[in-house]
Amino acid sequence: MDSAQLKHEWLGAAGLDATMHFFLNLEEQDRRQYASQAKAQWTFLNRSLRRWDTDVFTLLGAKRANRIDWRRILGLAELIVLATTNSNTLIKRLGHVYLDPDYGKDYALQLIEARQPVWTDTLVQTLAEQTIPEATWVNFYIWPFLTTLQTRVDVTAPAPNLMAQLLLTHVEGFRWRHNKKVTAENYVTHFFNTHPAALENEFWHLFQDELCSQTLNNARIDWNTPAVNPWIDAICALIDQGALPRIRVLDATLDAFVSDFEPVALRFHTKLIQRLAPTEVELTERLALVLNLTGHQVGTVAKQSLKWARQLAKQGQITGDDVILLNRATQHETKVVAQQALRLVKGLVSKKIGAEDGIALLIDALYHPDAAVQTVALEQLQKLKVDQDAAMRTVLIESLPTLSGGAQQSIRDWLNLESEPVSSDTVDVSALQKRAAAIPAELAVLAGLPHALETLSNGQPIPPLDLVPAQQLPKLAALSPLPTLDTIEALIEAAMRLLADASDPMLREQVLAGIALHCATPLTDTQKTLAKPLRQAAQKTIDAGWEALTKVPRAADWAHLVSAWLDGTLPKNVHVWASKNSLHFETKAPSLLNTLRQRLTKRVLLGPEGHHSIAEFMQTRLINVAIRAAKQEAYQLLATPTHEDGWLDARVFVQRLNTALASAAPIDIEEFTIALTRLAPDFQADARNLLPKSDVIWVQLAQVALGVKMRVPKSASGWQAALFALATRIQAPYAADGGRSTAEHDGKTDFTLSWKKEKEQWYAGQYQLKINANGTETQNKTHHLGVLLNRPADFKAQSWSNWGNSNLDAVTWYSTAWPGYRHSWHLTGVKMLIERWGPDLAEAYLNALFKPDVPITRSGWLLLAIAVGHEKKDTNALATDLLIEIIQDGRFDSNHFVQALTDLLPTNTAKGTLEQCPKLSFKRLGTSLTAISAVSDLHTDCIRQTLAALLTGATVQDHSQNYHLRNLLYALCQDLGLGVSAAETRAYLQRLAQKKSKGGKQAKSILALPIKNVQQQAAISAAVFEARMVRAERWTEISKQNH
Amino acid sequence: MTSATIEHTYNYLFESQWRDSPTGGELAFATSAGTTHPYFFQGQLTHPQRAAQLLLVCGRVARARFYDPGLKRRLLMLDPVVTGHADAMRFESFSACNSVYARADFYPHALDGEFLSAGTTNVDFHQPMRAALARIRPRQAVELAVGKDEVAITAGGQKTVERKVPLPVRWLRGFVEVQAIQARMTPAFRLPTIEARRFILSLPRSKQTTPSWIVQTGKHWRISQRQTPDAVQVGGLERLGLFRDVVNQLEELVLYTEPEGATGWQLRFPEASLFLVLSATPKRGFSGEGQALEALASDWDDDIVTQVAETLKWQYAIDASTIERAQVLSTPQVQTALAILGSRGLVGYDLNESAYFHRELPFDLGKVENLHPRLKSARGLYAGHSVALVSTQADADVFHVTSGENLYQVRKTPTETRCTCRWYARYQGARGVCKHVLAVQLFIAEKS
Repeated sequence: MDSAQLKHEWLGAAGLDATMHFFLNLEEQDRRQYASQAKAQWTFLNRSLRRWDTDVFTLLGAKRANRIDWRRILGLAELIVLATTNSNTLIKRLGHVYLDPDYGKDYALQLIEARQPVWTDTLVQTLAEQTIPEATWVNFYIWPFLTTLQTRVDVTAPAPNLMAQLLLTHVEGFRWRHNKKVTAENYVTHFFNTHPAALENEFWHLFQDELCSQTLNNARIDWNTPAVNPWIDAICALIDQGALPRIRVLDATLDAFVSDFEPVALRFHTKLIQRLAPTEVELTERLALVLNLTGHQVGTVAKQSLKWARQLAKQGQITGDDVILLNRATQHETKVVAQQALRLVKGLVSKKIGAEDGIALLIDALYHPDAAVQTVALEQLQKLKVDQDAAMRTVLIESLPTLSGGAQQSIRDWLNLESEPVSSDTVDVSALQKRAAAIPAELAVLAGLPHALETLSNGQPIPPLDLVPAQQLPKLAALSPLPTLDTIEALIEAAMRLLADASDPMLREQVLAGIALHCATPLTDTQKTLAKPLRQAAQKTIDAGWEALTKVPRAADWAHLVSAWLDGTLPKNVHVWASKNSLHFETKAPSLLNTLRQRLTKRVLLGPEGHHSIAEFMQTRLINVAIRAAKQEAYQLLATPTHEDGWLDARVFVQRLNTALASAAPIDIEEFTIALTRLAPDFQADARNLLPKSDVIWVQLAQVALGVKMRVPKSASGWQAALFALATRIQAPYAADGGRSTAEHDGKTDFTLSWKKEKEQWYAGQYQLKINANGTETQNKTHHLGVLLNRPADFKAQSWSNWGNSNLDAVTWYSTAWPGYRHSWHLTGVKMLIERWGPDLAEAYLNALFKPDVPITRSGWLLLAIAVGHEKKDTNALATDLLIEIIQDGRFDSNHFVQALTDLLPTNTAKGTLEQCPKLSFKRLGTSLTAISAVSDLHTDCIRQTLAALLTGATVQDHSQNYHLRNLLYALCQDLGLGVSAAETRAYLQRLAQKKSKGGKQAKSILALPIKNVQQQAAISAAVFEARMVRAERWTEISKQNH
Repeated sequence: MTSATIEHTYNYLFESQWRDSPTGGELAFATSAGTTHPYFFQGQLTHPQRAAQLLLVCGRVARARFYDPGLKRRLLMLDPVVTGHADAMRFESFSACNSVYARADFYPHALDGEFLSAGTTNVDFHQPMRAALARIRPRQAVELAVGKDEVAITAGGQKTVERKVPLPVRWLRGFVEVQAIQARMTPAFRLPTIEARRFILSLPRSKQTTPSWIVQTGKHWRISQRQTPDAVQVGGLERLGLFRDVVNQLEELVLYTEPEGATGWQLRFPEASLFLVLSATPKRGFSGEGQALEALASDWDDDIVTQVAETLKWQYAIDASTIERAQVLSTPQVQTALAILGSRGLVGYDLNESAYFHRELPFDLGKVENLHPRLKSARGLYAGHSVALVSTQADADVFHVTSGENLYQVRKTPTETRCTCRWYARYQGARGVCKHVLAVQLFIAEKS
C-alpha cells in the first residue's frame, strides 16, 4: 500500500471503523510493515492540518476545510500510528485527538490490548504530563482513558498528583462537554457521585499537590459568576451526604497550610476552611497546629488562625507552654496579624498564662520594622505594668535606635530617660557666609545661597529653591567624553554589541557616527571576514521580516543600518518615505524657511503629532545615515554628542558645521536641529567666535542658538531663524483643546505661542497655531491637570507604538536629543504612567532625573509625584530613591512637589483625579513617603513640610484615605518634635478636630505638638544649606575646570 | 534551555519518617548514595524548631523555581544532599530554576549524639516529612537519625523507595558552577540581629522585574532601585523571602558579593548557619555562568589534581596551606586543583570558613567537563590551529580566531579581553568568557 492509498482509502474514504478493523485483524509483523508510512502520513497531516492547509483538505476529499474533518482525519492518523509503531519517541510526540470518542471511539484501548506494545508506559507517562489546566478541551479525555487503561493492561501507574490534576481537568471539562448551564451540585457533585472511586484516590491528592490546589481555586461555574467556586459547595455537599469524612477533609486542608505551598495555591483552602467552620472541639484537638498557623506567611491564613486562637484562649484551652507558639505571629510582617497576636499575648499574660514567654515576645516585637507594631507592643507592655528589672531596661534601651520617634519617646517616658542632647540650637550664619563667598556670584544665585543666608539671618527656615535652568549650568568638565570609533575593527565590535543590546544611547550615537564616517571606506579582505558574523547577526534580524527604518522605532532599525553599510541594501519602503518627506533642503531661502516652519510647527510645537516629534527627528537621522551609507557617501554627523547624556561641545559643533559648509555637502534639517538642542552651555562664546561671518541660513541659525541676543527681526528670514532656534527650546504642548507655550530665554519669557483646536477628527485634533512675538500672552486658557490627564480621547485611538515609547531603548535614546530641556519628554512619561502604558518604561524617564545637576522641570515634578504613588512597585521604588537623592543634593522643591501632588489628589474643586487614575494609590504614596522620611532628619522634615502643605482644607477633600497621610504627618512631627505651623493646615486640622471620630482624635494630637523647636529647626536649616553648598561647590569646580 | 538529562535513581531503604514519642518525636531521614545507604548520625537536635525550619528552607529551595514554571514539574522529585563530617553536618539543595543554592550547616553543638560515619548522600524529603517538620515546636525533644542500620531495617521489613528522576545537565552544571562562584565572593557587609531582622522583613514578596540594590541610608539598610557606589546589586530579591521563616533568633546576616552580580547570604545562628547563594537574576541560572571555564581552560596538571584529591578526607574545611606543605605544591596549584575538583562535584565551598570542604555529590559527574560546551568548542578551536597572534602592541595583543567560515578578533589588554563575537557582544563577559577567548587562553597557556 502506498501513501496515496493510505490517504484516500483510509483517511478519506474508508473511515475509522474499516481502517481500525483492518489493523486489528492483522498479525503484529504485518502491522509493523506500515509503520514508516503511518509515521510519514501523521507527520505530514499534523503539520498541514494544523496550518489549515486547504490543499490537504481537498486532497482528502473534504468538501470544505472545517474543524470536524480536521480532527477526524488527525485522530485516525494518530490511531494508525498507534496500530503500527514501536517507537517511544514517536509516541511522545503524538497528539491525542483519538481519545475523543467522536474521533477514536474505543480503538486506542483495543489496539493496546491487542498489540501489548513496548511503549505503553511511555504513552501513559506522556499523557499524564499533559496537564495544562487551560487546555480542557484537549485533555478532557485523558483521565478516563488512563483510568480504564490501568484496569485493562499491565501498566505503570502515573504519579498520583498527575492523575489528580487530570481529574481536575476532566471535571472542569465535564461541564464544558455537556454544554449546558450547570451548577456546582450537578457537575462536581454529580461527577463524584458517579465516580466514587475517585473520592478514595485522586481526591485527596488535590489537597497535597500545589498545582492542583491552585487549579481548584480557579475553578468556576462560569465566567459570569467568578466568585462562585463549585468545588467548595460540592465538598460540603459530599460531606453532608456522608460521601466524604469531614474530619479527614478538615485535616487535609490544615495539612495543606503547613505544606509549604505558594500563597496563591492556598486561596482555595482558606475559603474551604472558612466554610467548614471547625468547631471548638475540633480546634482544641488541633491546638498546636492552630497556634503554629498563626505565624503562617500568608496573611489570610494567619488571621484566620489567630481568630481561632482567640476563641480557644477565651475557652481557656491555651496553656503557658503554648504561648511560645505565637512567636512567629508576633513578628509577622502583616501589621494586623502582629498587632492582634500581641494583644492576644497580653491577654494571656494578664491571666498569668505563659507570662515569661509572653513578655519576651512583647519585647521582641519592639524590633518589628513597622512603627505601628512597635507602638502596640509597647502599649501592651505598659498595660501589663511589667516590672522594669535591669535586664529589661537594657533590652529596651538597646532597642531605642531601631524604633520610630514616637515609640522612642514613649519608652523614654516610661523608663524616665532623658532626651538625647542636640549639639547646637543656632546656625552660625557668618561661617556659612564665609564659605559661600568662594562661590561665583551667578552660581551662588542659581544655588539659592544668598536668599538662604538672608532668611537664616532673620532666624527663618530656608524656603524651597525655585527651578534651576539647565542652560545656565556648566556641564562638560563633569561628564565623560564620548570616544569616536576610529577604526573599522572598532566599528565592527561596537556594531556587534549594539545589535546584541541597543540599550546604551551613546553606543547608538557612536555606531551612527562611525557608519556615517567609514561608509565610503572599502573593507580589506580581513575586515570583510571579520565583519561576516556582524553581517550574519544583522541578516538574522532582517530575515524576521519586521518593518524597519520608518518614523517608528523598530528593533530591526540598526540591523538594517548595518546592512546598508556592509551590503548597500535598504528596506523597500525607506526611499519612498524619505523622498516623500524631502529630507534635504533646497538651496533657495524661501523654500528652506517654508520647510523649517512646517517642520517645526508640525513636529515640535503641535499637539498629537508633536508627541512623537523627538522620535521622528531621531528616526530621520538614522534613516539619513542609512541612505547615505548605502550610497557610500561618507560624512561627519553634526549632532553626535561629545559627552555623555547627549551633550555637544559648542566648539566641536561649529567645527563640524564649518567643515560641512566648506565641503558643500547637504545638511539635514533633523541633524542640524538635534545638534542645536544638544549644545552644552559651556564654551558658547568661544564657539561664536569660530563661526564665519556669513548670511548662510545655517550660520544665522547657529548664531541664534549660541546666544546671540534674541530679537525678532523684521525680515522674514530673520524671523524664521528666531522661530527655529527658540522652538527647539520650547515644550511640546499637551493641552486637549488648546493652550500656550512660552520660550524662556535667560529666565525671561520672550516668545509666546498659543494654539487652539480647530477641527476634531476621529483620531486626533487639529490645531491652529498663533505666534505672538511681542512677549505678551494672547490666550490664557488653562485646565485642571487631572482633566487633561484623564482626557485621553485625543490619544486613545492612536497607535501608541508610533510614539516609540513601547521601546525602552528608543525612549532612552530620545532623552539624549534634548538633554537640557526634557519637559515634553517627561510629559510623555506622565501620560504613559497614568494610562498604564508605560510603567515598565518609567525607569527611563525617572533615571534621567537622578544626576544632581539635572534640573527638575514642572513636568519632572509631576512625573515624580505620579511615580511615587504609582501602584507598580518598581516604578514606585525608583521614585522613592529619586526623591531621597533630590533631597540630599539640594534640588528638593516642596512647592512644586506639593503642587504636583495637589493636582493629583482628589479635590473639592475638580472632579476626582487620583480616584480616576486607578494606578495611583494613597497607601503606596504613604509607604514611599515613609521610606523617604526614614533616611535622615532632613528627609523627615521635607516630607513633613510636604504633607503639611498638602493636607489643607482648600485643596484636599476630607477623604477617609487622607487618614493615612495624616497619620504619617503625625509620626514625622513626633520624630522631629515639631508640629505643624502653617495657618491653613492648622485651620484644616482644627476643623477636623471638632469631629468625634478617629480622624478628629488624630487631628487633635497633631495640633497638640509644639510648633517651634529651635534646636531641631537649626539642625535642619544647616542640612539644607549644606546640600546647596555642595551643589554650588560642584558647579564652581566644573566651571574652573572648563576654564 | 538544553533538554539533555542524566537519569538518577533515588534508592531509599525506607521512607523518611516522623514518629511521635512521649517526650517529642523522632526524625529519621532515609539516605541514598547509589547502591549504598550511609548512616551518619543518631542523636538529639539541640534546637529542634530552628533545625526543622532550616531543613524546610533547604527542601523548599530544592522545589523552588523562580523562573520557568515548567521546570517544577520536570524536577519535582529532587531531594537535598547531606554531607556528614566528623562532628558536623551540611544539607545542600539547588533550585529547579538553577538560580538559588541553599546550604544549612549544623555545627557540632547543634547535634548532640553520635557521628557514625562521614560521606555524602541524598536524603528522602517527601511532602509528609515537610509537614512533620513544620509542626515541630520549640523546646520539643527531637531525635534525629540520618540513615539507619541496614540490618535493623531489613529485619523490620520496611518498604523500600526507588525513584528515577531525569536530572537536567543544566541543573548539574549549575550545582557545580556555584562552588566556583562562591570561591570568588568576599563579605560586603554584616547586619547585626535587629537590623538584619528589619531588613529581611522589609523584603518584597512579589516578583522583582528589575535588579535592586542594597544600600545603607541613614540608620538603616534599604532596598534601592538605583546603583550607587556603595550599593550591592541583587536581582530577584523575592528569592530571599526564603529567609522569612527563620528570621527569629538570628545572630547576624552576612552578605557576600562577587563581580558578576551573584550574591551569597549567610544567616548565622548560635549553632547553625543558613546560606543562600543567588544568581545575578532568577532567569540567569548558575549553569550558564561559565565562571569555572577559565580555571578549566588554564594550564592545569591532572597529576596535581589527583594529588590534591587524595588528601580529601571529608574535612569540614580544607586547609589549603596544609596541602601545600604536605604535597609540596604552590598556592595557585592547590587553588586551581580545588577549583577543578569543585567543578567535578568533589568539593563544596564554605563562605563562612572561606575554604573548600570535602563532599562528593551523589550524581554521575564523571563527564562534567563535557557538560561545558564552550570549553569543548574552545579546545576544538585550539586543537584545529585556529588561533593566531596578529599583532602585539604596547597596550594590547590582537588575536584572530577562525571558527568555521568566520573570523573573530580577540583584543587582550592588561585589564580586559574583548571579542567581536555575538556572545561577547551580548554578555560582555558577565557570563564567563566566550569560546574564542578561551581558545586564546589555551593558546597563551601553551606558548608560555
